[in-house]
Amino acid sequence: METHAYHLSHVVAIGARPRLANGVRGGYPRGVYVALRRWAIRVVMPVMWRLWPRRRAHALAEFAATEADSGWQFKQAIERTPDPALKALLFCNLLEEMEHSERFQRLADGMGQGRVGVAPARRTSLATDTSSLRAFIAYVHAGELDISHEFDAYGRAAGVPAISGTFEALREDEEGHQSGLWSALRKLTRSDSEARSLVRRARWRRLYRSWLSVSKQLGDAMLALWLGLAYLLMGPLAVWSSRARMRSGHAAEQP
Amino acid sequence: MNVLGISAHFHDATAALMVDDAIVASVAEERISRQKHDASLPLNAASACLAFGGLSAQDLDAVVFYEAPHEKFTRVLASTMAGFPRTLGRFVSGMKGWLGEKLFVRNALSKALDVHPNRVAFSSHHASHATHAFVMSGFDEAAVLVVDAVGEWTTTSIGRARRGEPVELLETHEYPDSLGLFYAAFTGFLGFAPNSEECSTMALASFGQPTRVAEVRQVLRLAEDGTFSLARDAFDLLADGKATYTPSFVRRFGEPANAATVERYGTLDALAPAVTVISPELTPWVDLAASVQSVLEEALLGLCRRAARLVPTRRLCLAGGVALNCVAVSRLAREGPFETMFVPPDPGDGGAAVGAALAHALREGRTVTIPKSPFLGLTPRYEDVHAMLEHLDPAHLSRVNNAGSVTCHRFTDDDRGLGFAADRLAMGKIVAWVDSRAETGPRALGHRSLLAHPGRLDTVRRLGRAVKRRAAFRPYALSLNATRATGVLHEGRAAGTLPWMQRTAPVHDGLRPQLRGGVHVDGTTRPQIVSREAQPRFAALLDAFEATTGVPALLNTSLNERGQPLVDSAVDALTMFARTDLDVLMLDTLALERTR
Repeated sequence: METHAYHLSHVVAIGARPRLANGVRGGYPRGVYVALRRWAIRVVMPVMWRLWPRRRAHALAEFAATEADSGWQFKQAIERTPDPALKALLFCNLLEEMEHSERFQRLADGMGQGRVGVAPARRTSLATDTSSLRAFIAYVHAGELDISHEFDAYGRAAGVPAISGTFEALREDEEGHQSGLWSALRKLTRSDSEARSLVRRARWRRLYRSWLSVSKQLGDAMLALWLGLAYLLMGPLAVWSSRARMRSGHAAEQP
Repeated sequence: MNVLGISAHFHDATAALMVDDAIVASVAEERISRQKHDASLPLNAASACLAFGGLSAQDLDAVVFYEAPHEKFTRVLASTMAGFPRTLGRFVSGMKGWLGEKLFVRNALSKALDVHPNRVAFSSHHASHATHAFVMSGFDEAAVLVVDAVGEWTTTSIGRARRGEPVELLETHEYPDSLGLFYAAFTGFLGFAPNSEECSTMALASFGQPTRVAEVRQVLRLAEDGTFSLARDAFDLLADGKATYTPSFVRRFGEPANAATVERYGTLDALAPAVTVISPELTPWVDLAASVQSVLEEALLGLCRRAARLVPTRRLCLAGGVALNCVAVSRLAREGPFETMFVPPDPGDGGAAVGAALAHALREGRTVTIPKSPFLGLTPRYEDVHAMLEHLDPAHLSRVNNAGSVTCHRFTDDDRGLGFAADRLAMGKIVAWVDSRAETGPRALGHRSLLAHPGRLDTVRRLGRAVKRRAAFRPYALSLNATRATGVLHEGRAAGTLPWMQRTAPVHDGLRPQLRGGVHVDGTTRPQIVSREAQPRFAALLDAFEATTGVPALLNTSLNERGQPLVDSAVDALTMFARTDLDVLMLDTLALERTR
């Protein structure tokens, strides 16, 4: 039996303050979008959360789900990279994302006075193979920056010390992830310019995804309107036959 | 014939692969997505199954969905419209889902898997369940009873099955008369999550007396001929498969359990020396749970007798989510009219994916086979963990206690590894045991298990508190070698016919103290009877543990954190080790040990 205590050979900078040194900054439409989101969070959220306290718990549960999904994405990437050091880095991120998810869920349950859940979304891996791994890391790196900005905004808007404190603590972790992933990306690409280019593309991808998400919400609202109309028109015609069907139960019938 | 069976859109979505008429893999989407009871179309699981079988989607002769979505849609539509105009919100939110992939499953599967739409076929929900149970049983002929929440319209069915033929459903009960929804509604009323935490209702029942049977039978009416019906005014059945109760139900049974009541359940202890006096605040709740359990068992016995009249045979196959109620299964085995009973290890919707593939092949006149084994899941990639360990800070693997150090042991000889695990178990350590292909279904059967010394109650309590984080009233199970079954269990021989924790059995009085951690307050356990042929490594571990301690069984519970599905991959296992108070993680030839 071979036994050894193992030690860190590749130092992972979890929790360290970020350098934010990927060099991909400056004015482009994404910046406007991010600024608008931060403004909306700071101005609209406090009002909505005060008016509908249940939404606050629900929003925290959504954060929990998002962090869990993020952890899952890291796990998929671990299984797709041959680089042991990168595996280890991604594993540390995975652990932190799971911890974040748990903290958000605890807060949500506390605010909602019981288990607050959100409908699980389908998991689709962003890293489908080894070749897409660099794009994945660039994408997550870009995402971590957005998330740390958003956590900052939510922390300021929350108005409840427990929530603000959690957002602040987790923001630091997310910034640490951002820094670690930037280093990993540079190592993978072996070229700063290529890494920056990947991050730029990832940011456009994120912007496009945000646009898709907004479009979907608009589409859902329109669909809900049409469905509501259909229900009101169809309902009076279908209600009696439906009630009769429900009453019958068809116990022990011979098919 | 190569067939991919798919179940989805209610809970426990699963993909199952048949290659050359033999089932070779079955993977629940939740194991990959890490979302418990994941109901989404199991595309990750399907990819994993195809990769396991070395096939591409183009090699498939058929992709078979486990139910008929259009028929199910008529049920959802009718049940929603019956509540007009109160159901506007439900209609809008429900239809949004249905008008997506739920209704157009053929297109969704064809597009996602890149197969021609003509190759997507459908089986009925209950035929899928029934076929899975019967083919796996290995019987030549049997009666088949399927009891679940609801499929398309059918909630309960009795059928006749013969080897090599499609199962013939002779009789059905239809929505809303459903034993699954009945039990789920009470589960919700008792403060647990319906369609998920029915096991908590079952565990709670052991603490109570069935003093409220008459009340419960007012809402579930049982006829002499074995049929049953739900009181329409008591259950809110308009939601899609989610049973809740109505104000009329509350008038009969009082206000539902609130957070304080659920917290009070925490005072109940499955490890208590004996069933002590239950506090007056809890008595009505535990008695209600016991009464619901008792009425369910009576209903199932009635159905079994009805099945015996319809299908004159000595064998019964039982399937559907209600078949996970191991207390009821053991009562059916004891008091039912059949000599032999078979319950598959995954009788719920996961198993129905397997059944859908089998049913399709039988309809095509094929001779199908399925291993009589629950180990149809994925093999962990140990190399992922081996590779990253050299680069990990041990501090990241001690996140909970933060004080311990982690030592890595690598074994070149498997016997030494087994000896090491047995030794640590004897010392009262909690061991996470990951070994080869994962088990299908909700029970841990020695491939993704948390193991502990059942006689060390301090360990067992720590397991519940710091690893599983679950209520103390829920019992643990025991794993024991088949040669020890009769020595440890009353009804040991009978229990051996249902070896995968499908039923409960009383533990001999003399052995209870040394096995107490895996014995419920009523003196029973839910045993896994380990076959040396099927699980030589796990059987050898039980031998090594007995040789060290003299104790003939191990406490075995599922390897998962609270709210998480069973661990699947090696990375999942390492994640759990890092996040909980586990002492030892055994991964093939590798052991990680936390010392404090």
